[in-house]
Amino acid sequence: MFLRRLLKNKMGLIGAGVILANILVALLAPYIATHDPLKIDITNQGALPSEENLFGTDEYGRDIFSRVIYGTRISLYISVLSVLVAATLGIILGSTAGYYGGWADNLIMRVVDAIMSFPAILLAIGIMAVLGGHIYNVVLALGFVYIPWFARVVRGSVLSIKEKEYIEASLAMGGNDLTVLFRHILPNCMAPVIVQATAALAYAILAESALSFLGLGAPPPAPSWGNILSDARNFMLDNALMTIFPGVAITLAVLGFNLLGDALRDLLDPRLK
Amino acid sequence: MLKYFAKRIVYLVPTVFLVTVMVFLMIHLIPGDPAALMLGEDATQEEVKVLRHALGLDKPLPVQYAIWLSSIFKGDFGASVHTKRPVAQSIMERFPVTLTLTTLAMVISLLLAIPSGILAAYFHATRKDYLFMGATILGVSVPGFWLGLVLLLFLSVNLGWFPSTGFVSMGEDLWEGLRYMLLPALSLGLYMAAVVARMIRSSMLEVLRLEYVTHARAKGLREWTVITKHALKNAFAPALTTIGLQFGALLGGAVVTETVFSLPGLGKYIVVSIYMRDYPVVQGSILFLAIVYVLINLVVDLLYGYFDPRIEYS
Amino acid sequence: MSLGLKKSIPIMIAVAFLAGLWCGAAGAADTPKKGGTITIALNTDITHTDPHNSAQIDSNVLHHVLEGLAAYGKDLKIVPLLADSWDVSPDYKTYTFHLVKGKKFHNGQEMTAEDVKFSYDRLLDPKTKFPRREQWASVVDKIEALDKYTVQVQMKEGFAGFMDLVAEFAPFPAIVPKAETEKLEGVITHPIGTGPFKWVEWKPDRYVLMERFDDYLPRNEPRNGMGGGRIAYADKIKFVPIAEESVAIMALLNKEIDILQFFPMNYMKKYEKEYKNKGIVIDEETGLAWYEIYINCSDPVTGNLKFRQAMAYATDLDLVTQATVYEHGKANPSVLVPNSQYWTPYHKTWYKKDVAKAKELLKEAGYKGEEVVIDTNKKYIFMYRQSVALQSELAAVGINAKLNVLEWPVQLQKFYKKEFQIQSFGMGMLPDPASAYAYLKMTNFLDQSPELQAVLDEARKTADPDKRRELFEKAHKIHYENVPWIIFYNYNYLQAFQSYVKGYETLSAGYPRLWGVWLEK
Repeated sequence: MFLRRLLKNKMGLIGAGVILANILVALLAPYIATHDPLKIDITNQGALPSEENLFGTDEYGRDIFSRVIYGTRISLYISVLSVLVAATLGIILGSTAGYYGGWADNLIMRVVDAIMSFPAILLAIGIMAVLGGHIYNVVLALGFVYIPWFARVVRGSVLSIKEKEYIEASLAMGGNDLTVLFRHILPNCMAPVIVQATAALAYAILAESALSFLGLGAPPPAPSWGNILSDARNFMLDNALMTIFPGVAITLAVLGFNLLGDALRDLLDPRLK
Repeated sequence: MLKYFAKRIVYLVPTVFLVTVMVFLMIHLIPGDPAALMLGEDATQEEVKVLRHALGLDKPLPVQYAIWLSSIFKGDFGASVHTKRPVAQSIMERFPVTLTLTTLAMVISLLLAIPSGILAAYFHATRKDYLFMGATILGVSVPGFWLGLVLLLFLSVNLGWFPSTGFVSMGEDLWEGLRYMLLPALSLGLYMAAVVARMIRSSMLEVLRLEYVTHARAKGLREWTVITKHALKNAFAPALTTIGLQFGALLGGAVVTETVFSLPGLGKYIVVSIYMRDYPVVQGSILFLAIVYVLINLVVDLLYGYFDPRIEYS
Repeated sequence: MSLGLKKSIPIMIAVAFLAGLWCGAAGAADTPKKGGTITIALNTDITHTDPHNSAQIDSNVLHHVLEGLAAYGKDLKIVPLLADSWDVSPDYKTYTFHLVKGKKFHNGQEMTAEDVKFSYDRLLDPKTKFPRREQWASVVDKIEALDKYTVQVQMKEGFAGFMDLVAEFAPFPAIVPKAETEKLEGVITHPIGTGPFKWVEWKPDRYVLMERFDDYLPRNEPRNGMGGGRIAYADKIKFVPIAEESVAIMALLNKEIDILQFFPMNYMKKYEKEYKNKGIVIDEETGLAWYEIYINCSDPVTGNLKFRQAMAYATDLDLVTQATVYEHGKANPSVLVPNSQYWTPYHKTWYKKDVAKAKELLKEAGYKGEEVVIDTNKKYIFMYRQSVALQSELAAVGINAKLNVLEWPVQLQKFYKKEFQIQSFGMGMLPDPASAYAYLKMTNFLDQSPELQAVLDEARKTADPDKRRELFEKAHKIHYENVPWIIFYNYNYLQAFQSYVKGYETLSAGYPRLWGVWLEK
């Protein structure tokens, strides 16, 4: 029934379609890309777009089209993993805070507030400065930064469900806390969590590309879209297209998640509008 | 009302405390001796020893934190490993640029967002509204730094309308300074404009449905008066929270924007200092920006209390 | 058709008049004009304002405000600056400097021997943190002011290379005013010197501003490298840090800057096609910087001589040069540059690429495909590009080389701690080859080769060009046979400026030089 409603929402469909396309590109990258994204060819540095190199080449002679295609893998990989990390930790913290209340709630929410006191990118930059450039460090950094989103949302849901009668009934029947949490409360929190997740995925892709652009993300020669844009700065005057394509790729990926997220929000939780 | 204010400020204390703890831990999570990290590779053994003692690195962690915190209170944010100049001084030299950038970005984004959000609500469910929704969703999907690069490429390089580098303080020369700041502020503010615009629109739509507005309409007031006088004030409150949150995004985004446009602000300074392993600078600057953000959020929260009628009467 | 004398005269007068006008105009175009502000873009901001505690980048600007006793001329010979002449005792133990009379500091005080003694004592003081202090302290015994314009420096032992220390560009043993500097506690924040420009201010991350010093006393000789007469034409000069290449080019095209110190090579094609017609001029000069890889001679894998020789046989220097600097550099396997006075054709000796020989040597070395790490960085883009090219050459003979891209400060740290297998590196001009070879200490090779140590010791003890030439040939032979490093190339400096900038020349050392430069607009 829910699915039917989703299918009726045109924007949501477009969003889902874009995301699907991104996933396909990521999975089928070896078949879509025309060259090895890491292969250096010093005889062909800074070439303009041609039949051989659809988007041209960068200063090491690497084919930009192939790099952009493989970049999809990195963006999806990092954003999905970091949102998983953030969601898992956020759910744990949020449900603990909401369910038990009291000092646990206070402590956890103060920590969550502290994390939110930092502008997200700034905190991610700080963490990357400490951990150093590596794909898993980016996942950790972004995962950490987005915990508050999930923690708050879950806590709010848990608080409102906790009071409901069937919970009290379940407890009266002898169910212990954890079972109640898992069986009854959490499944009903999933709706806002999913909505947050799509928003977080969109942000994560933007954040990851900003970090790589600054040189603080996936280390070179990884063809992350941010890295490609950073490399492209030196060719901006020659090959303007080199600056355009990776940015379009980022925009499309993010757009997909935003469209889907909007649709899901409309359907699942109009209050969050 | 007063109770609300007091509560907010009291909640601030543990939060700020935790913020300082997090920043303090930053430098201690880096492999290597913090004192050696702070002095750089050309420091002598003697100097490292002296600093270790001054920072109390042989003492337990909480003591070290207390020592560090007390120097922060005195305004001593340490010294740059690279230039040996006090971090606090460097922050003060550069923060005005970042502040100008973020303020200008916010002004531009509000100038764009508020009118368009209101109009979209007014033209709800018409083609204009759908255009608006399309534009805003694109606005939150486009990476700001990329937009900056593209603007730089076309408006500065190709057309020469704006300078590509350098900086003139708007305090020294308003119009010339504006020329340097316009593109960066635009690329930084667009995201926020999209978010706030949508927020205003949905907030307006909600309020327009409320009873007392219907009541006002029934009284025969013109639609326009209904919107501006009654709906807007109440729609503004939730939007205000968003604006506060977005200011944080602006501060973070300023880091990237300053890098794209080579502005001599605090954001670019942080990025360059990370490359140079200049940890005292990184630590001090992040702490400073976090505190600024906390204060701004406090102000926004207090303003929210003023605007939201529900709080007034509680 | 003969015009006849009567008609010819007016024509001749007209021609003569026009010729006179033309000559006058041409001459006028070459006459320096005073005035204006010259804006030059450097690729990074300065970090120190104290010459006795500064880095290379700071020296770029400090040499406009301060001066040393001597300096390097265009052909790298040492020429007078604040010292008119100097006497060196035959045992190289005593150097006596005769100072220029009537040189004023920017605060109006006259420069005397007391100031020189003070300056040199200051840089020998450990508290000052002069980067070359150890070397100075190991050779200098004491400094005495014999009279108002004569300074004598006593060496601990005979040291023939002292003038190289005195004339060094960076670190800069500048002469500072005793009276002013003594009053300071700590570093100099507002440098006062004898240079043709006065320091005005430094706004970090924005600019360094200087203005002309009207009471400057120039030498009589014409401008010569860092020496000779320095005449300041511009009213003000401004150094602006621009880190990104593309931004610098944009600023150049928009005429926001007058001079760009390092024009990126990959834009040369665009320059030929477009920028030339937009009033941009590029002055290309063979540079003295030398880029190389250091190979650790104590490492289990790279310490094997045959392995290193295999690396040499595997690598085509021209290919690496081409890949890194395109046509704007020349492969050069030696520490010495062809225009050095000590260079001989022997310095061209190197291995010719031979893949078969390389593979054979690898087998003899017992190489089993172990991973070999090349430390490199992206801050100095040539170091990165050359390491990429090198890796590809090594891979072709079966050497499993991996690039380890580090942040420059980290790579530098590893370099000084000798914690590496291979480091992709580059060094600026070192006029004395002996000090260049001394860097082999970092590869542990110097300890392994008493032969090379002996050669370098002898070279330090003599200033005789013939003897030195012989010694450096010996050094190159040892270098060739043992491959403790592979030197790739010297690259050209490309400095770009607007067509209305006159008198600007690119120096082979790459430093910006703004005296003798004026704006024609």
